[in-house]
Formats: sequence, C-alpha cells, structure tokens
Amino acid sequence: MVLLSKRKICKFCENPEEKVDYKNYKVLRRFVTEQGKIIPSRITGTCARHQRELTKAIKRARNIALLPYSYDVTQSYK
Amino acid sequence: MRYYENLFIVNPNIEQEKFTTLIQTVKAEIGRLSGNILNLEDWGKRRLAYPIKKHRYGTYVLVQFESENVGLVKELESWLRMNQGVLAFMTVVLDEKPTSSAQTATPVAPASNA
Repeated sequence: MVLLSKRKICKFCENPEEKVDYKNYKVLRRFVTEQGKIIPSRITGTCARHQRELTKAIKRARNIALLPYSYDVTQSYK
Repeated sequence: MRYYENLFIVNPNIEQEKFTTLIQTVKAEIGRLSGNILNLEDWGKRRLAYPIKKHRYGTYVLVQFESENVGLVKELESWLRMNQGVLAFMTVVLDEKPTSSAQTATPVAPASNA
C-alpha cells in the first residue's frame, strides 16, 4: 500500500499541488489500513504538518461516509 | 467574510422532481440567511462507506457559500436536520475563498499506488 523505500518523503511536500482535502477520499484511502485505521506517519513518511491535516481530513471523510470508520476484513461489506 | 462548505447526502430514492425542489430550497434557505452561494455541485449517487439510516447509497451535494451571518450555519443545519430527504450533512469552514467548481467534483485519482 505505502512504499517502503529507505528514504521516505512526504507525499504532500513532494507535490505541493495536492492539497489535503477530506473530499478527495481516493487519496486519503492510501493513508488508512485495510481496516480503516489511520496509518502512522512513521510508516508513510508524511511530515508532521501534513499528517495533522491528513488526520483531520480522514476524520471528516468518515463523518460524511466517504471513508469507513472501520472495516471488517473477515466479513466483506455488501 | 467567511467561507463555508456544506456536503450533504440526499436519499437517492426520492424522485427527481423532489430532489430538484430540495436543491432549490437549500439555495433559497442560504439566500434567506444572507449567504451567497459560490458553487453548487451534484456529485451524483455514490455508495456510502457505511449505511446511514439504512441506506447504502446516497446522492452527495456540495454547496460552497460565503456569509457574514454567523448564525447561518446553525440555522441551515437545523433546517437540514428537519428535512426528510437529507440523510447526513457536514459543514466546514474554509480557510480561503474556494476557486473553481470543477476541481472538487471529480477527485483526482492517485497517480501511483506503489
């Protein structure tokens, strides 16, 4: 899901055009696990500032059903 | 001047006519509360990440507006809450004036998923 190269660079710093936005759930989806949990920046390499924005965006997206609060991996959602 | 956006989900099973009237009333309501609509986007029917009021699908509508009336959001939300056709809604204060509308309608797909 997230690249595991030796040097991790914040995706959003790399590409300043891409704003962290709760509406852009397709991008946000890369920063949550299969279960829907937020992946720590230690893993994704996101910088502190963008991780903060990301967390907020993911929570907003969950609120309005763009992202799930949780996802049961053992039971597929129908 | 403050900029807001409200994303709300409409019951996808209501008739087109009712949907149009709903959108019209939302517009009118914002106008009545001295707000000025900047963008209004219909995202169409989408699958919800989790069921809301037993619905698995919903029609998303995004409204971006500006206003100086601080009580607007409260009134608008209470109005939306009363409305039968609206499943859920969320209002967010924007940091800056929203730009073009097309930008948000189709979220940009990630370039790579490596």
